[in-house]
Amino acid sequence: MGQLSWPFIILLLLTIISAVVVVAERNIVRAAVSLGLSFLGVAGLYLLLHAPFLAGAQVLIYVGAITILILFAIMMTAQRLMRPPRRALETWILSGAVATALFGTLAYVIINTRWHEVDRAAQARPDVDYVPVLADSLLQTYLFPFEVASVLLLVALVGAIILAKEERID
Amino acid sequence: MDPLNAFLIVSAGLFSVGVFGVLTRRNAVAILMSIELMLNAANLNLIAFARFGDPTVLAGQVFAIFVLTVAAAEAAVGLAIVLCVYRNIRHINVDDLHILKW
Amino acid sequence: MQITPRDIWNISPHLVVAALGLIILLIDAIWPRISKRQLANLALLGLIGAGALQARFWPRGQVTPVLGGMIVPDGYTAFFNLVLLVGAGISLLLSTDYLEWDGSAHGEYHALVLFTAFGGMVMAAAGHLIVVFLGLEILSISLYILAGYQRERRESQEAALKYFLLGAFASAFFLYGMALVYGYAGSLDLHAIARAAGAGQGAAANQLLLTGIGLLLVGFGFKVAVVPFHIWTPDVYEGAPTSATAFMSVVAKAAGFAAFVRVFALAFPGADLRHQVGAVVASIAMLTMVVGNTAAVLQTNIKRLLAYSSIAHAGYILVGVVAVLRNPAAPAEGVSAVLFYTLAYTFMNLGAFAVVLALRRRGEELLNIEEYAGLGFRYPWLGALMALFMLSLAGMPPTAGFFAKLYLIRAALSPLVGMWWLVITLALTSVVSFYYYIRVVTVMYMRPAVEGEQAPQASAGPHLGTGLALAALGTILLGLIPAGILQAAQQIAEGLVELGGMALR
Repeated sequence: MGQLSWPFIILLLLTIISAVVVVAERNIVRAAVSLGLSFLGVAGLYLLLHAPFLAGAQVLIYVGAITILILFAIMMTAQRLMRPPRRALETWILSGAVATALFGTLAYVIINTRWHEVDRAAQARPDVDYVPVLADSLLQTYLFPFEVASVLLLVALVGAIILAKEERID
Repeated sequence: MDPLNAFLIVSAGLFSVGVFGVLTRRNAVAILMSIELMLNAANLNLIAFARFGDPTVLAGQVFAIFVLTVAAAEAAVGLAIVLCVYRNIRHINVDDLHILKW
Repeated sequence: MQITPRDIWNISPHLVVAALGLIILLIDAIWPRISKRQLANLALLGLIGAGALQARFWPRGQVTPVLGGMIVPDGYTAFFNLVLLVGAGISLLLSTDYLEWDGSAHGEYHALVLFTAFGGMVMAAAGHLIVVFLGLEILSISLYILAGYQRERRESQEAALKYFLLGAFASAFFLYGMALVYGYAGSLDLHAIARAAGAGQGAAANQLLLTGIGLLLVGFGFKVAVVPFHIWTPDVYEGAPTSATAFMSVVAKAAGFAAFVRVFALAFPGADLRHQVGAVVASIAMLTMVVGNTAAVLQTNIKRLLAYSSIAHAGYILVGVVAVLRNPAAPAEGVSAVLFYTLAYTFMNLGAFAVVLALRRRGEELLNIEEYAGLGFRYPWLGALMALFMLSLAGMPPTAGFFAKLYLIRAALSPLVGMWWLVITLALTSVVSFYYYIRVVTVMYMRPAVEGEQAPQASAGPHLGTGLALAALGTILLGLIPAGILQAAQQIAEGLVELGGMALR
């Protein structure tokens, strides 16, 4: 574990602990704020992974847009304190078992994969300023998905409006 | 520990916490929040692999940008649906959906 | 990467459908008073145009990917795009009357139908996992909105909520699976993944790949509604507006299987790997057939009956997928059986929904199967058509459903597949399915009709009538002369296999 740096450990704790608060806190407003903190932690991890553009986008979109959107929805739906599920203990034990099993499987697979087997050296690429590379590939190789994503946003826009608007005009 | 593995384990943890949240929460907005955690976990994976694995192009990072877009779109539509349900039945507790059992 | 006119030509059907959606939104915004029937007609015209453009790629197309490997304009794409265009077209024909009756006829509905079809077409053509994901999300988000389209009806809202929450949950698994596959292969391009997986990288790395594939199965399984990822299906089918249910039942299935088969047939070569994955898919298929068919027997609501029947049909199609995975000598046979089945299912399922959409009683939809009593005599045409679709869904010769099942069985019976128990399950569960399909027919013909105020009314305007006729024509023609389509399907399947071979070179 020698290579784990302090920033990594701090960000790890921030991300995971606030994620746990998101799923365990009874007050939904606190859960939503905690979700924002978890997103910030992930943004920090992106910085450690030399992905500053993604870190910025993460802060703007997840922390800035999605968390705020969720807070708006919470305000408009009046319910602050969440009730536990029916047959709470059973649900928690069962779900906990499922989540633990999932984590165990994933962790087992990750630790057992010797990454050099996967046909490449398990070391970082040299640090180049890759933002231009990202921009180029978005508008060249990935031009088609880029355009498709715009259709996706349009669909979401239209859908959100027709579902959420109060009265139809016609 | 291999740095790649460290990031992947964090991601697996985040994903499992999200799954736990989806399974135990009964408030629709809280379920959506747990799903966002899972999407973040997948993105963290993509970016970690792009850093340590993908030698030539940044497919992982590009994919992560698209996932951000999709997550925003999904959240917008999902919350619109939640509001609409709330207008009709004055609550958003999935245990109490009468007509369709959860 | 240079974009040539050739590339634009290759994706022209996609462009036409997306542009059409935009045009309809615009027209509806500029002239809100325009008759929604006119909008539907415009959409239909555009779909026919897109189909004509797409038909130029029939049946071989071009197997080399274009646009940076994102899109493969081959015959396989052409086939599924045509299925999706036919599905969207007939659905539009079926929905106009229903929407007017329901008072929710708005231009956005038609636009969303077109965007859903666009998403499905993107999935069918995808040569890259990013494109698969984006297509899937366009399809899913549009369908969530369509499910909740009746904003005053509580069931519709609850259906949309349930569909959305479970769909987004499944999407997250799907995405995580893609991330693991990316970690394994170092690329999201299907050909590059195939090269990495074909090279075989040791047992431990194989576990990573298998975990990724397992998570991908969750995503695809949810979209096409197979057990155990089917729990949303009956409730969403029941709650969604009936016209939207008809649409999603065929389009989500066709698009889901299009991407499913392409990804699994192309990206994961290697006999051992396929053998393992095939065994998992086979057990899912068996579970799906058994659960879908037994649960359908218990249903009294026609929409729920058709929901469980759609689960059962997803199970049958999975048998074809197993044949693709476990028969390295002739994977084309399984692929062509899946293609044929999807087309047949589109016609017969839309037909059954068309009859449901035509029926009313005292201003309400006629959804309880018992209320169909005497319908066969009161409305001889409608009764006969419903009987046709039910028999075809059950797999009675000489309808489309019979040949579709026959080809699946033929593909799965090959000794290399080695899954005779799967074929036996398919046959036995089909026998069970006769019980509930025939029950609808017996209620229509054997029970005395209710007269007076309580009597069911049928109303089929020109649109619904045309849709019904097209669905019936497809069901009958595929049953009487299946050879032509089957031959084309085989050529297309060989094209796909050839593409898989190219990827490894």
